[in-house]
Amino acid sequence: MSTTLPIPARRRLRRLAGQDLPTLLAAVALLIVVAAALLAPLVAPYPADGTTATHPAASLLGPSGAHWMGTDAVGRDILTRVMYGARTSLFIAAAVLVLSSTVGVLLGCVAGYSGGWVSDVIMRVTDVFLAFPALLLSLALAVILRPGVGTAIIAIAATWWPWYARLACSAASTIRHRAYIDSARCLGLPRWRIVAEHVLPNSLTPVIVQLSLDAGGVILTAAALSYLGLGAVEPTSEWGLMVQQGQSSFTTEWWIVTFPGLAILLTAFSFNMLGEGLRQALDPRKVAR
Amino acid sequence: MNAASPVLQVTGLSIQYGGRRVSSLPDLSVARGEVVAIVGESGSGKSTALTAILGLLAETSADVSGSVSVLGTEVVGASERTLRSLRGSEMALVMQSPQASLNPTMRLGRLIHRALRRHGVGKAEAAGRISDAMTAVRLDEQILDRYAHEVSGGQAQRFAIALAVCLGAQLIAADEPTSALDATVQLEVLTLIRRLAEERRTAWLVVAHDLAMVSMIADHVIVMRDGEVVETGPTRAVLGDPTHEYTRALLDAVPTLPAGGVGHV
Repeated sequence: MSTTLPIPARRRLRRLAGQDLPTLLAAVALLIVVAAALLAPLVAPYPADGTTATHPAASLLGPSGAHWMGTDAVGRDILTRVMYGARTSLFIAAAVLVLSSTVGVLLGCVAGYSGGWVSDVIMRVTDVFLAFPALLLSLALAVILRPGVGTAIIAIAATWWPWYARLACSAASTIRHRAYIDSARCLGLPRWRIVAEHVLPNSLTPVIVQLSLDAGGVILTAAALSYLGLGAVEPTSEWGLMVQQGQSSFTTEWWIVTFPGLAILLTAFSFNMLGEGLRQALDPRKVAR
Repeated sequence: MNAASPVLQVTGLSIQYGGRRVSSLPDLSVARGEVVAIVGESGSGKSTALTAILGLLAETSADVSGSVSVLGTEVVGASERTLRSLRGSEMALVMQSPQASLNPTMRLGRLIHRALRRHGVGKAEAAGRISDAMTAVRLDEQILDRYAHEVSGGQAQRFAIALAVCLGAQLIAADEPTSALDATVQLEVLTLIRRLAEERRTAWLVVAHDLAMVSMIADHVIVMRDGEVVETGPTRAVLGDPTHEYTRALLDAVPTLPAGGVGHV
């Protein structure tokens, strides 16, 4: 995606890496989460616990040398399940963001570039989706469909794309008045090509920022759905599900809810920090130094 | 189409916004190898006339009437499809701000290649046409690897002209093509316009407010004020012996007009 960023944006990104400590820390934290997710089968202490294995004899053990984060009610290693949970959460986040930004940006660019009734139709449909509270709509969809990771992705993406449509629409409606769009029209390019090659790539900067800001929110929503029993189901490792399973015994076996809870907090927080850093770095109003 | 018939023929063109006439061109024709300039102050309706001729007002609230014929095809009221078939291959636009008129996220080489491919030019032929056009505008092919903001204004403007040339546009409309450039670069671009008109028989319709520039390149001049044509004729006659007071006022506003500057380079 970086190849489509305008060059000044790339320069700003490079500067960001050297200057902004909180953003850098957030990026490092996310790198660790991503590494944990990717390498889980290799580095997790009890890879089988990530899925179906159970060890009744080792249930509800507190944190120790053998189980750094303790074990759950059926004896599975929490650290392993937190690492496998990172896979689930990041997968859901990636799928939701790809799905909703693709749909949203395409519709938004078409609406913003075309204007007139095309824009009216697309943007009023978007408004209808935005009129419902996001979590409520996701819940309703998740209830209709069967619980599972796929359901969570569809339910969340359905409430997320309108934001991208709006963002891309406002970017595209400014860009359509730029000189290079008129000059593309004067080259005799068809409308769809102008949207795809001239409007869209130039509308992406705000979208990229929004993507990183939204990743945290998607992970939180996915955790909430699983917590409510509408998202990922056993034996999938999922942070929200783990919190839900441990909450009844929170006062005695505190480790069951705490570690997945911390994982949610850390990941969502880091994505927000990174997004904020990106927003500031890519803000064209900020004077380049 | 015989060689003598004009590339562009405008008859009774009138552009109105909400019933108010902002620009009118009763009669204008541009032949092959000819440079015609429309001059006037800002707000005189000269740029509006140019956008109407290119059919760019088709989807706006502007009310365009009259006739604009490009190589025998009517532009006023033409469908988007007809306009698309004319644009690029028959007529092209060169804009005032060269860098702003090139997509900032696309390398120049890709931009020109895509445009050619879209006009049905094969890969091998495209490469040949590009290098031919780059030679015609005296640009090094190395700049094809760069983005618009990585080249100078003069280079970007010559690239924009190369884009029009390689698509085979026979009418090139230019909206203040030199006013965003340095004085020395202006001269290069003006020389280029003149040279392309003479060597490639390209028809040029140039909108300008700078009479010194116009005197250097144009064969014919149309002076516009408040949306109306006040004077028209061969450059030498109009600028050498203006009959209308407004033309005289415009000429007086030029800081220095070099002696003997009226005419061609």
